[in-house]
Amino acid sequence: MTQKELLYVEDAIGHEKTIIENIKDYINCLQDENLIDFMKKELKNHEREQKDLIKLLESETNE
Amino acid sequence: MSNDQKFLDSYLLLLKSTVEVYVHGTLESSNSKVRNLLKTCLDSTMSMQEVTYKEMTNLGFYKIKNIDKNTICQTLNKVKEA
Repeated sequence: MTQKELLYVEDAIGHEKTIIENIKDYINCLQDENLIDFMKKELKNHEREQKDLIKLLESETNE
Repeated sequence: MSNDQKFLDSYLLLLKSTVEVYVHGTLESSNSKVRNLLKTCLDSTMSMQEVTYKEMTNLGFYKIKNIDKNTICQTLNKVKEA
């Protein structure tokens, strides 16, 4: 992994973190129950992506 | 504009900026593991953007206005002549 690739992965993890934090706020403020359910599904998707990106970095440290 | 719409607008903007990170990351990565994961995340994020946009149009937050065929014909003629 190059320095540039590491920066992109780090940037992506930061973006996912921001989205996750924002979605948690939305869920607390949204009024439409269907939208709350929709956002809960989206939250799971972003948490999975963040986890996969972190796993990638972990795998690079183990090689 | 309702508060719910503001939240979805905000979410859509976040998705769009994240797509840019994944696009550039995918293009610039030669390491296959990095490239494949960033591409997977790109596809997934674009899919989420599409689903969110559709949800917003279903709720009437966005109005889609298609252009008429004449406008398309004018452009088609213009590019054919060029």
